[in-house]
Amino acid sequence: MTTHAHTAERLTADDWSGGTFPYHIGHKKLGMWLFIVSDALTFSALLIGYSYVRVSSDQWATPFAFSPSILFSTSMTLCLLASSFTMVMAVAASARRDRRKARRWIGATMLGGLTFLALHIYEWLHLIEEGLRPFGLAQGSAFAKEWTERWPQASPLFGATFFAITGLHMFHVLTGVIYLGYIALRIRRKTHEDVEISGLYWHFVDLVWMFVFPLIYLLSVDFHPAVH
Amino acid sequence: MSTRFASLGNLVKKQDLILNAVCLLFAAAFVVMALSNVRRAGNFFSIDSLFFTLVSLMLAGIFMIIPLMWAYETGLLRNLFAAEGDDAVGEAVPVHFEGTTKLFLSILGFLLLLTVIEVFLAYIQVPLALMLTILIGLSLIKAALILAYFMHLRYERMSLVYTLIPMLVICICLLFIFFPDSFRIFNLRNYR
Amino acid sequence: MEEATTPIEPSAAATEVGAAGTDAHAEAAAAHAPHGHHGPPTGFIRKYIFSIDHKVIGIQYLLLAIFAAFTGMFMSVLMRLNLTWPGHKWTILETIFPLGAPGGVMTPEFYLSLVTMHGTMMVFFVLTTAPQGGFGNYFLPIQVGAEDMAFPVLNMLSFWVTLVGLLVLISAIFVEGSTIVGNTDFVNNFLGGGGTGTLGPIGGWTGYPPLSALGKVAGPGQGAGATLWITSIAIFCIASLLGALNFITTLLNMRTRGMSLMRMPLTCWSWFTTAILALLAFPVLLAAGVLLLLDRHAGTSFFIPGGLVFNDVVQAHKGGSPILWQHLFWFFGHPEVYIAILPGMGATSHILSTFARKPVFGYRAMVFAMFAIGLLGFFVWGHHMFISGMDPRTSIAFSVLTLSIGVPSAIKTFNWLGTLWGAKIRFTVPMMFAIGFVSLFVAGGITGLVLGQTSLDLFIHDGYFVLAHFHLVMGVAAIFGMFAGVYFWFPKMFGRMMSERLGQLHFWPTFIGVYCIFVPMHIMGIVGMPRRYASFQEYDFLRPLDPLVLLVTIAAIVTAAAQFIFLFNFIWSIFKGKRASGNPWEATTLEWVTPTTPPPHDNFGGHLPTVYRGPYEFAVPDAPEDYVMQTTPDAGEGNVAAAGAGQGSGQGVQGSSGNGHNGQH
Repeated sequence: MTTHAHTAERLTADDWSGGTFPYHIGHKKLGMWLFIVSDALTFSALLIGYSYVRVSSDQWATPFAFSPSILFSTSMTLCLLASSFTMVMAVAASARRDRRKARRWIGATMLGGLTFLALHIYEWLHLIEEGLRPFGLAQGSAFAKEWTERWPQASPLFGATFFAITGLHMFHVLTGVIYLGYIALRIRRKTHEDVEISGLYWHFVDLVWMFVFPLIYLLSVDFHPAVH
Repeated sequence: MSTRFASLGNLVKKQDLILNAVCLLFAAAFVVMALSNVRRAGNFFSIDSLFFTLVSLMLAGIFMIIPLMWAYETGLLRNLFAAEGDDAVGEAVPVHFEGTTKLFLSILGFLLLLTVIEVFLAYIQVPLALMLTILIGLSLIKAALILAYFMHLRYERMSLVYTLIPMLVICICLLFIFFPDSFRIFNLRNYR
Repeated sequence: MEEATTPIEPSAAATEVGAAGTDAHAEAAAAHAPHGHHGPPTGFIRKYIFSIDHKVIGIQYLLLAIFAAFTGMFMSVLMRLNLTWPGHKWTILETIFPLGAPGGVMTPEFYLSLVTMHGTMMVFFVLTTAPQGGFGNYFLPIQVGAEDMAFPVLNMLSFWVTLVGLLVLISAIFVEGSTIVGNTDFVNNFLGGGGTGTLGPIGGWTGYPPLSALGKVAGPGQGAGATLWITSIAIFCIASLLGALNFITTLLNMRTRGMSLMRMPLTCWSWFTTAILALLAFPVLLAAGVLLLLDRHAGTSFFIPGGLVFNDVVQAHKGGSPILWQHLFWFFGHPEVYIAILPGMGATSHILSTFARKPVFGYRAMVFAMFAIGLLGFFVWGHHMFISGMDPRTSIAFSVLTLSIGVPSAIKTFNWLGTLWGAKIRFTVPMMFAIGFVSLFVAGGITGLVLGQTSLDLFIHDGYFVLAHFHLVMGVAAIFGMFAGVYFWFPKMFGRMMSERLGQLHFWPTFIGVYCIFVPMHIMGIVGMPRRYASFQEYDFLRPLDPLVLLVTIAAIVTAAAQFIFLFNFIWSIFKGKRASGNPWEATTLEWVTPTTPPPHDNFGGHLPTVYRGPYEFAVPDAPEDYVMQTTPDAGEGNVAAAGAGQGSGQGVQGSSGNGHNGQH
């Protein structure tokens, strides 16, 4: 409910003596920051859980060949990074009160997010087709044959951690795209702060991926890909 | 405190003094404990010795908070902080979004560079432990860049940074205490 | 930095430049009201059901908690009955729970499901909800001088999400029974041919896997019931997160002029600390809950080790570790304990000071201790896991950190005693409950020092000693804090006084009753009575405890009965109580300066108060009365609006530089 009147009124001399915004940011932005902190902890807990399971396993499958798997996920990363950049441009445009441009940049951001989603879903489908399941592998699939040969002791939790963490992240991306779409649609009625807050959320989603990508993908690179 | 309520002020002052004295006493005692532990421990870098020293120092630190807060309130410490100028960042650098497209582009370039380095590491097949360390390090740098520039934390009040980041970092660090158990389970599984 | 680029409307700037002091504040407040979230709502549904007024939401939370508390209490009485007279026929029970108590005899599974539901309901929907969601919602904005919470709609949402959580939890009782009836093969296999059933999940409120992760095969009630139970907790996590960030934002951003952090009542500090804890602890439980649900329904096994055999069937799961759940759960679980108790501490400090007519002894130390408890609360979850086989060095670390919580707790206790020392105490009912809180906190907390030591804990873990410890310190003490709060704030919430006589009649049986319940339990625990056993008939070494068990049960029934006095008092006083004045307790904080009682829709009638002093200025020498309101200006300075003028002039300077100055923030 932060309005400019409200913001201006509360900017008095001493930050902490009441009647002011101590951080010089409105409610919504502070709320979004707090939400980001708590959501970051959810992801941390999941990633730590993944590391815990991986460390305590006899063996961990490392099935992602450098080409094409890693290159594919790298391109997903690039999508997300680029969308982060366009988001920052959208915020900058909205700061200049250039709402038309802001809307365009938000559109570009959504495009980046949607591309990421499409690539990600394609990857999921591919992996499922190969035989990866939330628990273990599909009987008689391509993966099942390869894995029993190469990682006989492998923990069946590979798929579980992969789908759980990337799934939750995908859910966040999807939410972010919808959120941005809402902001872009109603940008005429939205203040700069609203745009900025949606940007915060989007960058946070990007930030999480900066940890998911190395921990889930890059640490599971197949060093000796089987010759098919 | 006005003259009218002066006696109440004195009462509060006395309370503060007593409290500070007690806290300082405790803090000193814990520091002495830590020091004596350092002196008496044969091998200082054993887990026991490090642990007791750290816990003693932590307790000393906790007790020091009250006197420090009091000192800050009463202005004894203010100059120290003023030298740093916690409003310097917030006020001296008025941000103009339009002027910094270049900055954002360079940040993006930097992020892409770091990503490429990560992928390159995966390509040349660095040993797992080293890989993990480097990856976490690079990811932290990337996260810091995103936080500072894309999320504008660098241009916010420093107090916001002090509020948000430590509590997150403390909690995440605490989660690392899970790992001794995972190593234990690994060892149990591999017990032949 | 966003203000730099925020288009600040000229009218707002003009408001600021034009007026000074409190007037500017009020005018600005009025100016922003149309932008603001809401005017007074009209219509019953808007006003009382889907209300976004924090006061109505607070009362809704409180009523929800009272409902949950009585349900949980009813369950605990049933448990006591079963423990004391196992196998006895309670004919009426057959009508209520045809499956849990076939023929009126409670089955062990029914007992376990009672344990689970009692624990979950009490911990989540009473101890977490009432002090924070109830009183916090109602009084935090008023005490810091705000018109409402920062996000009123989010506030409404978090209440309704909590309610959904409660409904889902209650439904967990009912879904499972019928499935059992249909699945006779399973009943025959599992229960050895007994045609009994259960009425809810039996995994305990901690939901330890593998029992909680395996589904129906793990026992009756662990099928759909346990799924609903986990879902309910996940929903509750989300509600708490929404609430927590709302509380923090409100407290930081919406304090009125002059309400610096060190002038906030200790209640506000406690709600603030609690909200931070909730913000950081609940996401971890949320993650754990998601993983547990995946284990149950996606076939993963994060928490399930290999080689488990249930009903002679080897389970397909392998590769997980139940210890991971314990870590994740208790990483949340221990801060949760402080989420329950801290608001009680805040209310107690507030009430002790008010009725002792003395300033809180060592206000600053109280604040520090509260934060120290909150901080240390994150470092000690391992003490719930001493017998999980953790590394002894880790357990020593957890042990020492646990014991160090004794330091801030002792600071608080001594400061409470210091507040009471030499005071002319007004023995009203809220004061008695507050003193009761101190007593129970000490009695329950002192055994924490016993349990915090690894070697002792190994012996008494999972016994009645632990049970007595956490019930006293986290359960009953926190509930005493709530009772103190209800009796104290009732006049403000409903505009009428609660009956003192009935209050006394409520206090004494409750106070004596809880001690009679929980002190014997310590003895039982040391003798070796284990938790979560439906009956001790087969253990000869526990037979000598029978009289104590009976005593506990009688005390429990008496205490439970006494709560109905409270319920009657509460409901009767809402309608028929003596009309309350605006400030019946002669207290000093902002909730007692509202223009009407109960406060109007925007709390202060459009004029946000300005605060000139700390919250507990009682027994002020030379003052006209023995207390000085927070809004009383310092007359000694000769200027009525001394502080306000100072601020006003500062603001004038700022206003004259206009947008440019604002832009520099």
